[in-house]
Amino acid sequence: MASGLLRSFDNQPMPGRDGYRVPLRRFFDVQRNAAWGYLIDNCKVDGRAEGLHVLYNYVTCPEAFEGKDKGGIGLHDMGVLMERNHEDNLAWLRANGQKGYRDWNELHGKHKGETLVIASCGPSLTHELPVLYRRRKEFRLMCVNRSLRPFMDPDAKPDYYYFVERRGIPDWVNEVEWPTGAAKSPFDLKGIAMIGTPQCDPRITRLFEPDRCYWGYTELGAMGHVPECANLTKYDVKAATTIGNAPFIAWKMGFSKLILVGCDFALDCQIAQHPEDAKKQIVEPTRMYFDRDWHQSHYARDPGWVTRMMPTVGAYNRAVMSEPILTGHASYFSAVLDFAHHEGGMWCANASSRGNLAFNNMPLDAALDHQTAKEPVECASST
Amino acid sequence: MRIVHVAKTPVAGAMEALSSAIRDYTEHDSRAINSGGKVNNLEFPHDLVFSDSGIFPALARADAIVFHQNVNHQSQPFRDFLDGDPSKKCLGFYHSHPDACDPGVAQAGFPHFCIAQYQSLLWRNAIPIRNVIRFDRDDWPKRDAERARERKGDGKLWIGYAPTFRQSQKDQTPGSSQWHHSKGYDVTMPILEKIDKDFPGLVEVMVFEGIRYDSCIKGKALCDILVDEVVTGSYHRNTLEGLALGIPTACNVSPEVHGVLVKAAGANDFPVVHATAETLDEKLRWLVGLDEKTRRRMGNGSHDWMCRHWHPRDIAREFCAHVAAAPSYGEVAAKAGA
Repeated sequence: MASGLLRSFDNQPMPGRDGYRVPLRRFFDVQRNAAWGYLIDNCKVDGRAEGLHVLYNYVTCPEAFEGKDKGGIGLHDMGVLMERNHEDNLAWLRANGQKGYRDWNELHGKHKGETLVIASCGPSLTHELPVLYRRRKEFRLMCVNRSLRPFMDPDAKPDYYYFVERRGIPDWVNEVEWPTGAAKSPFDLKGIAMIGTPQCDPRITRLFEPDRCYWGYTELGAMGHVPECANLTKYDVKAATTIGNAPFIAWKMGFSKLILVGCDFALDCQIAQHPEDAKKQIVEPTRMYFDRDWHQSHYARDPGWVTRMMPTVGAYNRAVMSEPILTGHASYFSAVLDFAHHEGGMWCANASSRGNLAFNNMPLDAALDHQTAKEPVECASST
Repeated sequence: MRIVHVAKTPVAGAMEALSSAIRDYTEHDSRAINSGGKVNNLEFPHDLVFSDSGIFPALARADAIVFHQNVNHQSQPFRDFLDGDPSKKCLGFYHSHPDACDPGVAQAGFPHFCIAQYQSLLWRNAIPIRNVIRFDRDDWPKRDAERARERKGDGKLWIGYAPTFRQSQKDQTPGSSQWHHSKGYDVTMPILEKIDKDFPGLVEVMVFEGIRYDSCIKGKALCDILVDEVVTGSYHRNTLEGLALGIPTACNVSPEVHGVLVKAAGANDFPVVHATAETLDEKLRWLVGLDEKTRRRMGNGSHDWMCRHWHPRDIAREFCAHVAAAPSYGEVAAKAGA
């Protein structure tokens, strides 16, 4: 919710780049050192004033916005990027007969008593694919980011796709050329409901059906389980990882069982002998397919970081490689699951076959066969 | 049964040819995954490439995964699909000398195949499989000598030769992978050049290299005589293509390879013009001296032989029967563990 201490200094609608009038309102927040940001309609199609969300003009990772020659996206201002995405998304919706953003609150409670499998982008996802394909009719499926790729089959398409990135990567939603990786042709995304924020990358959102796109904010703080988190995420939709928000979405939708696959919070790697120094070993990542953005942002810029990481779990000639950022995410995510499982009443299990996430770990078949005893706690009717 | 073939390279189009024949002639489904059809300057037909999203449903639903040539069952992400569903079958298929292959699948005790050429003598536990040539497809060029002559316009007799690489065999160890691979280019070309000079205005030697597979086949179809390989004692796809096109084809097949071949084909003979490095010149002069009808009769006989003994339908059915009889990945892995 917008703070009462917000002071608008520009309440005039701004022209959208597609010729539409887009209501972007800039403001100061006196409580937060006069940080400036944008007021965004929070998907209320009736346009009521309450429930405005705030996006601050924070640049949390400036290196990602450097020039394209440095691997960035060439935009130095995240606020500008979010503004443009919002303009483009709204213009596209209106051009397709929508009044505005369709509120994702419409999905709340829609799947009471059902099972949801969330496929994340860890390299172990391929291990679970045979079972997921064999038992696909037994559960709802939600994909995030690149995990959409393995389910682009008419009989295996996910029910939901969730992403929050303001700059997505084309191969999430496109067939690509080999070996350049250039986008070739868009996936057939008919029938898949997208959940995202108005600031999501329009190059991704526009490939979905406009009337199957649901918009809104999925901040974990709304679950109320981690006060610090609530403060952190209340205003900044990007404060948590994509997968970190997914259990909250599942809980809001009323699912009674949540199973996670591909939630590794780790990379596959192998250890090889250094060719010149007998005392040294080399740790090399072996699975980058689902982790290309990680690969680009970390490994490509600093190849040495791989050799500094410690393999935490050995398996044959394959090991799982972790590092502090991933371990931190895993720890945080297990806390989220703990809340959803014990407080929210949504039975949660991690069926990822390897990785660093430790929460009710079990094989996928066993998780799908598990009979939940109790109904989840009734969730709130709206955010 | 759903079969998925995996290789890193195009394997001269052999994997795609087998996979598509299985789809066309059996009740089984088959897909082939590799890095596409291009290698060096050549281009072969291909099915799925590694970056296609279609590889995931194919591998997830596969009943059998066949690892060709230079990839093994430990390679990711393929290993995940086997570990995730041990009821799948895991097999190997080798198209080359062991030095040029990743023998991991064979060494781990999984059933494996090799092509019924000289490789059968080197992969002792492999099941020999005939190399599929898709001469049954509609786009396979029809041999018509008169039309070919019209198209060429010069009235010359064409002798076709398609070396894989211009490598010299002189520095290679006899029997090594490179020795087999070089196919006697440095020995064969001088003979062909001599024939070209000795029959001015009558004979033209056509060398096919570095072009798309379909263009290469169309070019070969315009030839009157083809030369495969006369040095190592084995035949190659070039010979099979020549026979299927109905063109007299010169090749050197050693007694050992001949034994492998006739056993795999269920035949008593192999209708090539047997020639060695020493006799190629003589055999070519003989072929050039034959009248058109005789050459055509030879070619028609070889095409008939291919239909009887080397039809993709029969090869696909034989291959699938072997796959169906293979133990599962889990059974072999448990046995190896015990």
